[in-house]
Amino acid sequence: MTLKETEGIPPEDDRKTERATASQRQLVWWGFKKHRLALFSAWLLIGMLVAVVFTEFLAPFDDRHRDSDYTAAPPQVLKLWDTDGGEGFQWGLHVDGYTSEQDPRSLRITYEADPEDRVEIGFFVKGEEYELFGLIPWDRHLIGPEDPEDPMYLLGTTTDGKDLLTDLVYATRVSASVGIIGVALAFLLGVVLGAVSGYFGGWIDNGIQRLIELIMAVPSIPLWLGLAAALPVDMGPVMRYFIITTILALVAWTGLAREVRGRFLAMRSEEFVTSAMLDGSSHRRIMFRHMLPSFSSHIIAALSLSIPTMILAETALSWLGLGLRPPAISWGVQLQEASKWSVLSGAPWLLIPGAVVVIVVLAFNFVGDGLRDAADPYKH
Amino acid sequence: MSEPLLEISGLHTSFDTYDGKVGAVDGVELTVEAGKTLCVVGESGCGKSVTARSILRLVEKPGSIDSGTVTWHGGEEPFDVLSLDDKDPRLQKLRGDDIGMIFQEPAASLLPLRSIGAQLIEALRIHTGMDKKAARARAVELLGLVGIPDAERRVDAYPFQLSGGMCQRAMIAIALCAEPALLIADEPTTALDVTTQARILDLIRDLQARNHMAVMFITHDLGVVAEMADEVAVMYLGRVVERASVEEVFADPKHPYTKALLRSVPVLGRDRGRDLPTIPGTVPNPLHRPKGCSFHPRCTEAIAGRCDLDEPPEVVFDGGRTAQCVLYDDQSEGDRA
Amino acid sequence: MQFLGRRVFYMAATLLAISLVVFVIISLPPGDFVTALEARYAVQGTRLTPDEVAQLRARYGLDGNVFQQYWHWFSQIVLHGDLGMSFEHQKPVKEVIGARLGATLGISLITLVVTWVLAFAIGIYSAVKQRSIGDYAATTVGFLGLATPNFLIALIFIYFSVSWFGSVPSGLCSPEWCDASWNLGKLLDLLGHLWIPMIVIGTAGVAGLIRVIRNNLLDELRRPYVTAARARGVPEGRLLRRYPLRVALNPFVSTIGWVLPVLLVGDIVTGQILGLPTLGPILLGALKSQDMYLAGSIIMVLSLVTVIGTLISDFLLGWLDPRIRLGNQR
Repeated sequence: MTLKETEGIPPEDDRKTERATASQRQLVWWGFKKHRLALFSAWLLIGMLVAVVFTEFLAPFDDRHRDSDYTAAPPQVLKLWDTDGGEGFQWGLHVDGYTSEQDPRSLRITYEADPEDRVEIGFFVKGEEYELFGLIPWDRHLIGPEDPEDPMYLLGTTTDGKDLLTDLVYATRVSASVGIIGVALAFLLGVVLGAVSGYFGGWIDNGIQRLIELIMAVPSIPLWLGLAAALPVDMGPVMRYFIITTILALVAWTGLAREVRGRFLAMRSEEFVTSAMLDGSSHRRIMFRHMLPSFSSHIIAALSLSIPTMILAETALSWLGLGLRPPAISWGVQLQEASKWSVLSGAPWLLIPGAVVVIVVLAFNFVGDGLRDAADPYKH
Repeated sequence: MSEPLLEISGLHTSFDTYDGKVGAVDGVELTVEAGKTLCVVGESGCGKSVTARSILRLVEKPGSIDSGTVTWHGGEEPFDVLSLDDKDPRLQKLRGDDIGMIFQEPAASLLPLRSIGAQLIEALRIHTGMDKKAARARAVELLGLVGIPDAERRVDAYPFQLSGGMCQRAMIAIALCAEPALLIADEPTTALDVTTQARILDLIRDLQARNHMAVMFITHDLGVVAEMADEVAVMYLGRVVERASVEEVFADPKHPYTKALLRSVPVLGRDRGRDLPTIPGTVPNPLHRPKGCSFHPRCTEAIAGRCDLDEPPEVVFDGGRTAQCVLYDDQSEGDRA
Repeated sequence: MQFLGRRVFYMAATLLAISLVVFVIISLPPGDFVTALEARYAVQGTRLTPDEVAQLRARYGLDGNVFQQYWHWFSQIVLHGDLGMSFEHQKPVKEVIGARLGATLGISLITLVVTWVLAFAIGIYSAVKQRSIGDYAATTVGFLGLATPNFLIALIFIYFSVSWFGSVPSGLCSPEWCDASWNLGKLLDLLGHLWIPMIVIGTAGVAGLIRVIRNNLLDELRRPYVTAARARGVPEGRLLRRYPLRVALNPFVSTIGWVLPVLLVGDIVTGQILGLPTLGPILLGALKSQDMYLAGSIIMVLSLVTVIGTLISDFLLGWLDPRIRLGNQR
């Protein structure tokens, strides 16, 4: 006897069947999940975004908070229980306060942890008032001393007595958003020109490509140094923020434009594009509804790989004193304080923002690499 | 009369992928006889290319040759290629000297940055020890021999300046420069247009007759098989399911897969006005090889309770041809008796 | 030849574009050179008469409209090699730059060579021994090097240098050797000072190049021509040297074009911290005090060197890769 073909097909495991019918988005997601490092980095970046949005709530103090009693004080250790206090073993989240001593000759103040001085720490404590999103007035902070007058400097303080952790949270908002907004601007310019160039081809493509080549041939670093330096000194911090971001974006868009153009060029001859054309869809519809979504994973990967470049550029520019300037706080501005070796040798914790830069940049790179591999499983 | 040149036995080659180990070649048995042409035929992904690469140990990570023997009879005494040390001079001699190989994408198989002459001269010098001048003269001669016009000038051409057909001729010249006893041709005409294909096939046949060379020809094209083969091996999912002479295969195919393949080729006159039959279903994923005979889900003659449970036996017919199928099981019992 | 001609034409167009941008940078801050000069004299108690101001304007070509000003500035550079006056240094820009160009180019070149040698060796090792411990180490260093701003590396160096030796090695030579004539001792002393700027300037470059060459080589090693060459018995060592390596070499050659501005930023950072007699700190100072003729000129000179570097790397690529050289002749 003979079998009908369908009956003979062995029951494959569900995952396989699922994979055969999965959407592109699901496939990319599955591929991405396999990269542990990329997944972990993605969580880190989500944490960073939370810091960008809920800055005032996450920071223990206000960014104008200044404590002249504790300048360049070292980080404190967060403790869950207490054995060395007066009353033996005792539970409770706390840090030790400081005792300070001034060297009579160098006048430098050194701080020691003081186990006798217990600073109670709580969550959702009342602290300085602020307006969340600039709208909702509130006074709770995620973590802080129960008594707002007590010192709680988990990452230490700066030379002018500001809490490093607070500064770091505020700087994260500025530096991360420069990267993201800058890349968004570059992306807009790059995608529109790249898409037009790759889709229409011919002399339009030729013209745009020559323009891009010209811009790429111009050495970018000296130029953005020059442009940033030519900005008026008395410019307000918000204006400066946007102009610096724009300068960085103007330099970065060409690479993205090339990437998008290459994709459009390769895809123009695909059948679904031809059939969309035959259906009489408008150019704009074909480009942005049919073609762009089909390589969105690649674009997201390219974006997350260009954000770190932007962040590093802003950090370097600000550190050199040509980018953002105090009172604006960015990672680069924070690190400026660490550049005097006399300061740095006594207060190495001032380098912590640098570690944050490295971690964030690495995280964006890993996420970008992971996405690219997931979107392009055959390439690697 | 037939003397074996190359014997493959129990060859298993697999690839490590994200989804697990995939057996691309799953126990292949093949023999190439001196001076004869063996055509290995099968659908894409049946393991025919991997088999060819395994012979010269060209399988690259994540692939690995797991077991089996590849015995070379062309030397002073036979040896197993797979058990040789990486640095064994016999392996070096085998590659290019005893066995020449040509590939599916001729243009990609030549280094883009060096002229075809430079690559040919390099091979000549490795295998024959000629000096530069002699090698160059010989290179021009070889290029002329494989039908490249104006060889004197073309010897300095770069691959990207030549057509696919010309590149394949150059590849053949390189493969044959040391007058090997066996030429492995891995779908050499697949990427070429039909007229070029015919010319390349003619060329290979001419050179084979001239050098008394054996050819192992990998293809999925039954037309090519009919034109080139002495012997045919039909592969399905990493196994040789039928081996026979070319006349036997076309006149009296035994394995249901071979029959189905032959049915799906249009025949002039016969097939006018009717649909060409196709093989139902698709080639299964080697990762999930069907239990029993791997062809049974697509087989029109499959026997329930047998083909989906037991591995098919290797049936040897009179005259030495074989087929892996239960349909002929009684004959094999008869043979054994 | 056509290839050469087109490249040279592009270079000229690029330089013109750069000169426009640089001119914009120079003109962007409020006021001009003469305004600044007036202010300085005012501080010293001298007032310039409107006549004198007009004369000065005419002398520096600042009396016309924007286009005339651009043309004056541009033609002064091209025809007379005159880059203008540095306000900060009270000297012609040419002298300020000339005094430091040698040290800058010297450090940059040495760093470049070291960068290449290191990146080349590590990159190839990493690709050939993919997934070995050495490869993982190299990849990790590569990632870290790319993610760490070079000024941060400098700061970390300073921190350890101060806590271990109690001081920061600054300058290019120790006091006792600075004025000495050239001999072995001075050379050793120079090398002793050079390694810190080299690490600071070169790390990002090494890291980037390691990744590039590793990925390129891995791509190339998977190409059919590698298998084909192996099949015809080309020995492994020769196979690597002659085939994929030649293709993977291209990015190194392309480096020549863009590496200089990258090195310069490193130079600004190290020069700033370590007090080196290079262009970096001068540029930074000029940018900060908006001494725009000096800043603009340095940017112009750097751009020129970069564009010439790009041109050289284009020629080398054409020479190395027949596909580029003969691309249009098919």
